[in-house]
Amino acid sequence: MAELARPECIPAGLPASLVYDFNPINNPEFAQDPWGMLARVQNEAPSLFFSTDSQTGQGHWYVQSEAAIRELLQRHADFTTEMGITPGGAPWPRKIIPLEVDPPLHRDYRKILSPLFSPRAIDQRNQQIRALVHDLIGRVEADGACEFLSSFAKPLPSTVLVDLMGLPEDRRAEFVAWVEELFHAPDRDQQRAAGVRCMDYLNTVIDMRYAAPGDDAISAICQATVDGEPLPREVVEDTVMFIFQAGLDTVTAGLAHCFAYLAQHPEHQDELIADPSRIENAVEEILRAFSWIGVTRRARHDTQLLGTPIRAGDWVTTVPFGAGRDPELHDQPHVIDFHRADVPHFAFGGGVHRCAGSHLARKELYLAVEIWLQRIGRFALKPGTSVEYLASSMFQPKQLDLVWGPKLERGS
Amino acid sequence: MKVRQIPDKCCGHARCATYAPAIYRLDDDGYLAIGIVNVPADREREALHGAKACPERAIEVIED
Repeated sequence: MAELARPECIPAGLPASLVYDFNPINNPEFAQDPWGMLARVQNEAPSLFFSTDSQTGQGHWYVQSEAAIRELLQRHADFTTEMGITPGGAPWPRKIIPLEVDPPLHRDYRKILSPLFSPRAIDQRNQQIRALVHDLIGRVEADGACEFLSSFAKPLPSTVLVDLMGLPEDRRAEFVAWVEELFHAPDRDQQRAAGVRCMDYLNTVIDMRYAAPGDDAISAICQATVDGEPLPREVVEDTVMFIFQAGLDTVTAGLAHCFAYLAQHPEHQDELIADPSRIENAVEEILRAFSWIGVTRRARHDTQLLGTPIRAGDWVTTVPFGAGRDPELHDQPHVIDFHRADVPHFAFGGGVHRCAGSHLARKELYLAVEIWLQRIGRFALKPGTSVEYLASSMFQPKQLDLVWGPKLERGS
Repeated sequence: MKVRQIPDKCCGHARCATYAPAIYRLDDDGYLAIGIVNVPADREREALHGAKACPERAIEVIED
């Protein structure tokens, strides 16, 4: 075994077989080949393991089997989000609601968002999202090439979100930049400042919606009640801030993963062009195999997981793709097969905090792949480029240069 | 065949309803609201798919 980063933080009495150092954050190996690194961790480390290498300096638990991930996410009374979900501290110092609230209060706050993001509500956005996808493709179609993140994967979710929240479309690029800075700025003060900019701006909108409600999500949150009482202003703010942050990066990452995979697998593109009815299945398969978000909980009190004692305050994070590629649950888990059906995965997390926007995200992914293949047909990575990843708790391609049409055929 | 919703387990992934919308009816918030239902013979296949797709394992299949 390689040398441990901080052997002094290993819990007393923990067998050496449960210690394995893993830290994807800012890890160059992870950035270059996340799938290779994750597969190695899956082979070498047990279902639950303790890594001494962590953002907190106190070590960190990881779970990677499907059963352990499911148990962690379902046992919200033992593994809380209220004590934070970002080891080492979140860039935004205030709570985000409903994610960082535990049941039973969580139920009341989550219920405000549920009807806005239910499968039925999202189905009503079908035509709008379809039109948006067509519009974005129309802007690059004739070029035969694009940088996919800036031309498509960022504008699509942000345009949908801005409309859903009733924010002005002409400031959309600014909002995207703020949220990017909040999560990815190199320095903590810069991140906080971006958060303050978001909150100050959202507060001006919240004031307007209290005064004159519309049919947008911010108005719905402002008018929501719990047991007949209006929500405290602070809860409204923290909920609006949550939606504003949560719906951008994650869907962008999902689109980038889907298109990066397809760009490198022409045989799979052909399969979907020949039979578009398989597209939803294909996206689910990519979600299963590439689940790109690790989620974190903290032990509220001394407890155990898979029979191992976990101390109050310990951090536990899911290894992305652990559940989706668990050999106990899936035959040949590393093979991508669009014929696989009814495959459960935790790409959108699970338990009571299952991603509230999952139905919206799925809709955007399905329609993007469908319309892209219909209009663009076959596409590939720009020759000479490869996919590099951003190594954070959510990992995603940094850049994705695609070519199609004559540029694809010429291979230039 | 019957399918039974295990209480307090549904977290609204809605995968069941994607495979078998006629069996797995969702409430306005998008959560499963069936209790227990009889599955007609011609819907058994899709009902099984829907149960298996649930990441929370919130659906129990009861064979007659």
